[in-house]
Amino acid sequence: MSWAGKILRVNLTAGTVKSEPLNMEWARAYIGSRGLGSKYLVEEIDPKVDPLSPDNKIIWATGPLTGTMASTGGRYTVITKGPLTGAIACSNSGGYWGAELKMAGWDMVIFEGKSDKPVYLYICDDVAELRDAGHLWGKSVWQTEDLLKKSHQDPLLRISSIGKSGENGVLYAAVVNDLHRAAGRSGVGTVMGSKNLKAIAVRGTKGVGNVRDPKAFMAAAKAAKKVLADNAVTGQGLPTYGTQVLMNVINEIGGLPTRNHRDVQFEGAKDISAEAMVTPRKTDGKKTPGDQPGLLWLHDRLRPHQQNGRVALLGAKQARVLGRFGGAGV
Amino acid sequence: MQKVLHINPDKCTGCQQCEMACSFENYGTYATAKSRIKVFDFHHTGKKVPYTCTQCDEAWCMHACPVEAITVDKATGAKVVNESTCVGCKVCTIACPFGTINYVQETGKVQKCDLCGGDPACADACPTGAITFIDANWTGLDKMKQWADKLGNQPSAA
Repeated sequence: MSWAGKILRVNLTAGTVKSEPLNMEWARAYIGSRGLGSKYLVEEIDPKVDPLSPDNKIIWATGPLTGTMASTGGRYTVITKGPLTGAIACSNSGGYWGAELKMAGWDMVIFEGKSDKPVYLYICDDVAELRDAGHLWGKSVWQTEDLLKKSHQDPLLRISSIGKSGENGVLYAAVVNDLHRAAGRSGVGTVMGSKNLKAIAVRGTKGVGNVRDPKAFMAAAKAAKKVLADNAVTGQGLPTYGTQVLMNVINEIGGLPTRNHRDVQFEGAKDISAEAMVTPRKTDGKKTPGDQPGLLWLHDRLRPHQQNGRVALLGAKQARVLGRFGGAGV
Repeated sequence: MQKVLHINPDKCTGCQQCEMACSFENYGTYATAKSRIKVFDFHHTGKKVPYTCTQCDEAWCMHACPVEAITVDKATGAKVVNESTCVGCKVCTIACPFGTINYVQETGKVQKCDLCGGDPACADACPTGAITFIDANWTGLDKMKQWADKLGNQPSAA
């Protein structure tokens, strides 16, 4: 396990940032960033609290393997009481932000209360302070990242932030990090916005080193990676086709949200599957643009797509996006 | 046989295992901030490209050093920093046109890729083969092969 053993507690009402020890008993008993963050949330808030009130809390959590070479070791989870359903909202995101927080020497950040003005949290190893975000409020997540990297003169800074949706109370607003990765479920971005919290910028130079037996750990991590590489789905299907390879399977088991989830199967699923995307089209013999294969869970390869003089970035079309919003009869 | 790190950016996914492996090999911690190899994420094109020292034969860093702290490892051909000799003047970091030798504020010395003495951790860790450790004389083989394929390996018309 690579716990740093400490967390940051930020009181946005008072404007204070404090370090406190990680509850190791909970860290051992509750699995991963999701388990740990959920336990903290459940213990610390009133279950009846209004999700968008200052009494809700929002947590950025990492797990015991975050920041190590274990597979999927870069992720983090945002946990809060969700504004849409009133249940525990647990949203996971990839990219680099989670590992960077661990490398700065922190396992988790908990936000309480509400700031009276837009702020962002800046963390650089042991330094953690709230800073004015007036100039960032109203900006998109991409503009926010760009502005923060420029103002800190640090291209290695990692940013987790909300855009205009979270600021304006859209109930399913996402928290975005590293430009293209998202804690996109359950409206965690809405709660972040309700607290006038714009972003968390983190830079970690300490690294993650509390591994008791480094050789054994590396051997175990390598062995686990071999399991993924040898498996047909994770070793060949996903790297070649991206998550779109799951379209047909999910449809067959009756799990494909269709027509706003009124149906669970889509009759045209095979026409928007990965296999269809790499088959040359009848109209022009080309393959569907944007069929960028992911590689071992990494699905953020983008290509500029020129249309009407405007350049849009097409991400690898994830099964989730196409199933839930894109092609499935919406 | 002398080998070099060969980088094929088309295979890079930006996973940073190379950076993690490098820091783990040299510092015993997982710290991308301490890595000698860095992966660059070009957002507008979606390409990720790793870059590190190419072990120049007439190395600017080696020639610039006023205390001769950088020497050649005869077995690997790598240019290696001797930390006890290094005085942290950083002249090498100015001399290197590629930016691949950098200061380490925690130690007051500079660091650069030294090929891990012959078994580079980054190449070992790379899951896609974007970084390989191959014969220094034949880094162009893959590209040659692609063109040979186009030239002579296509089905005949008849």
